[in-house]
This record gives sequence, C-alpha cells and structure tokens, in this order.
Amino acid sequence: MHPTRTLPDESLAAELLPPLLVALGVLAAFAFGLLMLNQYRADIWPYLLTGALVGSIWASGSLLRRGRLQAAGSLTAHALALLPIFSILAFGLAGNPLIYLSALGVAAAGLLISPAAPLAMARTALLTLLAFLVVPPLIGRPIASLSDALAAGLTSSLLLCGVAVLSWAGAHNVRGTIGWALETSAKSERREALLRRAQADLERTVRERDQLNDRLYRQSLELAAAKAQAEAAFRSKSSFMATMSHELRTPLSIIIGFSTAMIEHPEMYEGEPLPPSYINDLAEIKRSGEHLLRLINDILDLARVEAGRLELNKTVLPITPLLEEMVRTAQGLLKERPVILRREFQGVLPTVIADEMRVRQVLLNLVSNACKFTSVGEVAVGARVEENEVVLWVRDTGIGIAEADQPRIFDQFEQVESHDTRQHTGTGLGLSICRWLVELHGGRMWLVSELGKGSIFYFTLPRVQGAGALGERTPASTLALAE
Amino acid sequence: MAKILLVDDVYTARSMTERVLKHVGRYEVIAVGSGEEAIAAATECTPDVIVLDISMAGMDGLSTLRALRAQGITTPVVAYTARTERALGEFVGQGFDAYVQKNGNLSNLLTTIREIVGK
Repeated sequence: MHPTRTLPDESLAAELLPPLLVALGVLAAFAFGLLMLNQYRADIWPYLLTGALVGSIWASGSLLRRGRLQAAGSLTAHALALLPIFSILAFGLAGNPLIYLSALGVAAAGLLISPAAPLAMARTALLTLLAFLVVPPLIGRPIASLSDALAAGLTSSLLLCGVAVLSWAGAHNVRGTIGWALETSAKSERREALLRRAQADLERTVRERDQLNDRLYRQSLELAAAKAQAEAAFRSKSSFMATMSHELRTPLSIIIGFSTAMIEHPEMYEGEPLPPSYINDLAEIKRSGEHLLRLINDILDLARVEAGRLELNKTVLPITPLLEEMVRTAQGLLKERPVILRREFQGVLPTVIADEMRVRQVLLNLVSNACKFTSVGEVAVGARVEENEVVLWVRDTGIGIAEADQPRIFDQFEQVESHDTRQHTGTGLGLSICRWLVELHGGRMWLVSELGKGSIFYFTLPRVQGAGALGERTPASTLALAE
Repeated sequence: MAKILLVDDVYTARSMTERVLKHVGRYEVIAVGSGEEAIAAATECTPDVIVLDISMAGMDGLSTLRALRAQGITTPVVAYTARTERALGEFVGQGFDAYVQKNGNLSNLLTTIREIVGK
C-alpha cells in the first residue's frame, strides 16, 4: 500500500506529532535530571536545571504548537539542544557514562522540536543512542544502583518511543521534522484563516451585492420616473408642434386665401378686377405664402421622420394609376413648354405595399422638380419590375446636377445653385424627405445625372408577391381630401 | 339658395370664408364664432350644410359635431381646418361628412359644398 498524502492523514500527523514530541522531550529532561540527582544529590543545581529543562520544553512545545512565535520557539529548541552539552562541561566528567547518553537524548529531543532539522537526522541520532544503551559492554561499566537502572530504563524506553514515533511519521511519508508538522498545523490554521477571510469576503460580497441590488432598484425607479418625464415632455412637445403648426397655418391660409380671392374672384370686390400691376404683386404674395406653408409642412414632416414618429399607412397599392396621375400633373406643370412627356412604363404594373399619400408625395416632388428644371427636351415617368421590388424613376433633360453636388443633394437644406433663384424656389427639404420616406418603406433612392444634360431620380418599393390580391385599405388612405 | 352655417373662432378667417361663400359660391351664409352658437343657429336656421372648424378655443369641432348629432340634427357637416391632411386622418370615422383643409385654396371648399348641396 502506498500511503497517500491525503488531508486527514496530514492533519492527524500535524495534530499528534507536536504533543508526542513534547512529551518525549519532557520525559528526556526528567531522565536527565534523575541522573544528575544521582550524581549530585546534595546540590541545588540539578533541581534548577531539571525544572528549567522541563519548563522550557513544555513552553517551546506549546509555543510552537500554536504556530505563533515560531522564531521564539525555535530559539528555545536550540537552547534545549545546547543546554545538556553545556551542563556536561559544567559538571565535568562525572564518571557516569549515562549522563552523556541522557544529555544526547535531550539534544535529540531538542533537535526533534527544531523546525529546521531533517527527520532522518533525528532518527539516526536516536538510533545511535539506543545502540549505545542496549550494548552495555560498550559503556564499559555495570549498572550499580537502582536509580542508575531506573534512569537507564527510562532513557532507553524514551529513545524507543522516539524511534517508534519517527518511524510512524516516516511510514506516513511525513517529510522533515516536527517543523513540518508545525507548519502543517500552521498551514491548517492558515487555511482556516483563509477560509474565514474567504467567508468574510463572501459576506462582504453578498452585502455589496445587496447594496448594488438596492441601488439598481433605486436606479430603475429613477429611470422609470425619468422615462415618464421624458414621455410627458415628448407629448407636450408633440402637442406643442401640433398647436404651433395650426397657429402658423391659420394666418397663412388667410394670406393665401385673400390673395387668391383678389386675383381670381373679383366678384368679392364689387366685380372690379385689379390692375395687372397689383395682380403681379398679389401673385407674389400668394406664391410666397404657399412656399411658406410648404416649408412648414416639410419641416414638420422632417421633424416627425427624425423623431421616428412618422407612421406609414401601408396598403396594397397599384402603381399604374399613380404614375398616370403623375403624367397628368406633369402635363399641367409643363403647360406650353416645348417638352415631350413620356411614359416609360407598360402594361399593368404589380402592386406594392406602401403608403399611397407618401408615395404620391415622393413622386410629386420628383415630377415637379423635373418640370421645374426642364425648359426644353423631355420629362419621363417610368417604372420597371424586378424580382422583389419595383423601380420607379423620373427622368428629365433639364439642367442636371454636377457630380460634385450629387452626394449632398439629399441633405437637408441643400439646393444646387441656380442662376434664377426666383424661378427655382424650393424648400431644400423635399429630396431629403423623399429619401427618408422611401427608406421608411424599405426602399432605396439614388440619382444618375450629368450637368447640363439632365437627371434621373430612381427609387424602389418592395413588391407584393402574388399581385392582384386586394389588401384592406385603411380609411386614411381613402380620405376624400380635396387636394 | 342653399344656406350654410359657418363656424370658425378666428374672426379674419371666418369673415374671409363668409365672403367667399357669399360672393363666389352665391350661398346664404350664417357665420358664428363658437360651438355653442353653432348649435343654437343649427336648430334655428336649419342650414343645408355646416362648415365647422375643428381647432376652436372652448368647444372644439368634434364636441360640437357630437352635440349636434345628439340633438338629432342630421345636417351634413364639413370639417374645415388648418390642420395637416395627416392630422385630419385622426378625425376619420368621427362622423364628419367631408374634410377640407384650410390652406388658402378657396375652390376646395366650394367644390365640396357644391357636391353636398347637389346631392
């Protein structure tokens, strides 16, 4: 069987070895004192010396066992080992060889207790002593008195015990000396201390966790409060926006309304039409008012889109009627200009899922741009079907956009410089909103253009698979709004 | 000659619409400035069409409409507001017979009224 260094064995050795060795040391000191008494019966020194030895062994043992004051314990142990040697010198050659033996015994006990000495060395020392003791002829003198015999017997049994203990320790694969045992005991104490510390750590961690939990809970409460506050602020902001837009629109509708009435309905003014010079300025007032109204609408739209609040009323939307409507719109916008209007779509186009009003807004924006910037040539409205989407475009042979300007054409308030700003008024928000709206539908928007030759604005809308299926139309999209 | 009850709390807007309806549309117009007056006038004058502003201080267009219907007045009501088309959508299904955006385009209102009166 191979003895293993399991924890119970280790701790058993650690628990047993120190008291055993201390007991042996005490007994050795007793034997030494007995021999001394036998030699110097009348003297006080043997009593004192024996007392000091027993006391110091006991003290060193208990000190070392506690694992504290190790340095002091070790010092005592070395003093113990040295004391008999000095006592031999002090008492001289007493004539009794046993005194050497017992002195050596004490030295061995001291050696055993010393944390530094190796176990094998202590065992060898004890065995040597035992050999000397059990071979009387080597000593060269017969044992005379009873006390001599007692001392010899005590010493030899002591040595036997020591050897037995050390062999037992050896059998348990215990290395080193009592120092090791003490260290093990110290180790277990350290382990215990570590455990206590770990427990304290754990408790602290648990406490900290509890505190953190508390804090988290408080924070979640604060967060909920902040969220409610933000939502309230958001609601008040949107109601502010709604009120604001209403407040802005009301006077504008009056400005536009009266200028329209003055230009178109002289019957409201006793049937007397205004002189043309007035009409021109009124038309300017009307146009500026309409521009301002468009601007307000665009800004509100953009604010809604950017706040993620613009909701689409998606329905299954047929494209062809919408494109036909755009062609008619373009016709009206181009009026007498020498511009050819083309339909670049054929047959019945598939349906898409889209917000009709928003798609119309995008197309209207592109078509009115195309008509605005084209004085001669062509304007086309087109569409083609691809696998998952429908690509729509508005093409013109107008002024075009320089390549350098193209990347920022979709930015807010970006307008490519125009020579005739009065002719080409716009909010600078239209294309930006268009792209937002297309992206909101899950489509893309881009352009192909060359300065002086014209532009094509493309955008895509996701297709409905299995065209012709009539989706339910929300009431909002069927709103009878006179536009 | 069709009779129109016009309800708008903004004086200038009201008088403008009133003049347009009178001179351009050739209608008889009773113009009032609040929902309460509108309910009184609706029972008294039995108009053919009610043109009702939605955003009014005090009793707004929607509560005026409800009060009218609660009193058994079935006169067609046109919602006439400066709100956006989108905001108008919120009033769909609330019982208005038509919606017209108040954006300065006078013919929209005239066309809508003509359609209702002609029916």
